[in-house]
Amino acid sequence: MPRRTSWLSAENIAFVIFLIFMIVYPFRTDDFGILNAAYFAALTLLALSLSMIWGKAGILSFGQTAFFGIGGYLYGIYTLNVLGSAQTWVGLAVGMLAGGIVAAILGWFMFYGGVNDVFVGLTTLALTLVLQTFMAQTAGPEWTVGEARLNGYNGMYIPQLSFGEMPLYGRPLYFVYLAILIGVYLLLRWLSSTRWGYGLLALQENRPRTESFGYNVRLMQVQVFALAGVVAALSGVLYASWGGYIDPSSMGLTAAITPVIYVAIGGRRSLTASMISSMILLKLSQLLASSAPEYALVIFGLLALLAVLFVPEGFVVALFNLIDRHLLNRGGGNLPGMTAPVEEVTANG
Amino acid sequence: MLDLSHVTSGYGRTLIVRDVSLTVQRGEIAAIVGRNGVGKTTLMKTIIGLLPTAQGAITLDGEEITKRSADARARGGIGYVPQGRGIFPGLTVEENLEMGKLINRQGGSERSLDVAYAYFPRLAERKTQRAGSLSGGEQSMLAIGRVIVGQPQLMLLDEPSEGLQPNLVQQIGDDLKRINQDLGTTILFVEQNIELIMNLAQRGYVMDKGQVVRQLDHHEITNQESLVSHLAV
Repeated sequence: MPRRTSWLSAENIAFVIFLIFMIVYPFRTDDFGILNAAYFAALTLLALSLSMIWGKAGILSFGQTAFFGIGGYLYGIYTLNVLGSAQTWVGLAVGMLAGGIVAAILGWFMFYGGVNDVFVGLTTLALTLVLQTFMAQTAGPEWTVGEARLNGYNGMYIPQLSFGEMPLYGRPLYFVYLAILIGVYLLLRWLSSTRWGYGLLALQENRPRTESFGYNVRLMQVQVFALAGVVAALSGVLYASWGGYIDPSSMGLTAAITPVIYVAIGGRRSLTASMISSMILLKLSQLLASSAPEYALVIFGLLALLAVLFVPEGFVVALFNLIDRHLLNRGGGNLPGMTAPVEEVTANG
Repeated sequence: MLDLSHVTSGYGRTLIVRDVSLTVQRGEIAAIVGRNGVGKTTLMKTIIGLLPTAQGAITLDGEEITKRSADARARGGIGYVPQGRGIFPGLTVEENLEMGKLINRQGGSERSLDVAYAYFPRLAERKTQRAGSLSGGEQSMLAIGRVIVGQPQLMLLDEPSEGLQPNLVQQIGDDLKRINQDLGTTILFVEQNIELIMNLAQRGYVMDKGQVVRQLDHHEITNQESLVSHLAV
């Protein structure tokens, strides 16, 4: 479905500024800063996956961290068993595929079984916690897959993505991660602007109504759930490769809720807002972790509460709308579904 | 074109529509009339597939569609304007119209939307406006326009006059007649508004307590006294 609106919007301008900043940043900081930024890029993919499933399709999932963990672990299991630098990239694909397949199977049972709304949140949270609990008890030597020892909370040590014999490190690592983040972002934005993407927005507003226009709503829900699972798994692969390590804490309750908070604060309906907000909040989280770790989650919780109560569309989206309305004269909310739902008018005339 | 044979349906175990049989011929405009709560909306939802058929059969062009899902029926050529108009308030007018293209059997093109704009020029003026901010009359135009973009063989409308002032009811009736004549779209609508029924319907069915209790020919359905007596069944 073609969009006929102008490209000059606060959201697009923000994306261009963000991109320029991210390209320039590694030349203005030290190695630690570069590695940190790559870590943020990997985790921001998780926010994008949530923005797609929650913001575009209205499906609140706490299972993205489960797919994240599946991606990371499967990448590790593959690369520890099939040696060779080229195999790390095959491992990346295996991790993504595993996340997508698990999400598709779970999505199939949920959506074709009539599970919707808050029950999806509960089911996906249960999946995350079950996976975490399962992985936590794999410390014993019997829990090995070929050469890969799962190792419970001791963690699994994993080969890093590499070109030739050289593992990715420093600026090359950062730019590969940034390219993947931007590529996924652009792909998801393009998908959101297709007829399928508009169907997602419509089913978020009213499923039966969308069905009556010829959309196979359940299939679309499974598709978007699987797609978000692939993106979350990709995030897990990049995270595992970045640190060369993964353990079950990456699938815990805090890990499941954190991306939800990041996306809610930024604005779940906008991929750009979710991406920018995630990068900023990850940085803030790190700063707070060193200066006031006990307050970090409290501050994020407070921000999320303020967003829900006073700025339900999210702080970054509210800023986009403000700029659109007052500086660009666009009337605000140029992206579909970016404004809060408007009550249907039933008055005469 | 559309045949319902002894159809029974409802919500779970609560059956609302009982043993309904009716026929709509290709190209005609038929009405289902009756008081509030007699099962008219339930029947419409059963025809479009949003409610399962507990018993009986529904056929479209001789092909049984009873077990088909709502989306398959829509793609098979049934357009539906629900009660309350059912627009997507968070999407723009143009985006709402785009939603209707999926059921277009010709695939839908850039020009598909022009059909809606031709019948309802006001929509073209408001194409970038949020649909939720339209007036009631404009929302009705959008709801009908969205369906004709898909060029369905059969259009189902559930109380299209609801919430509209009298002059707009007349206008919507005239628009639907033009669509029926120009595009050949068969129309089946549920209504309580006597003016709209008389203006639009060529024949009809009276429902009471979930059943079709009487057929109305053209003379009866365009006769105010007759209609009043049937609506007070």
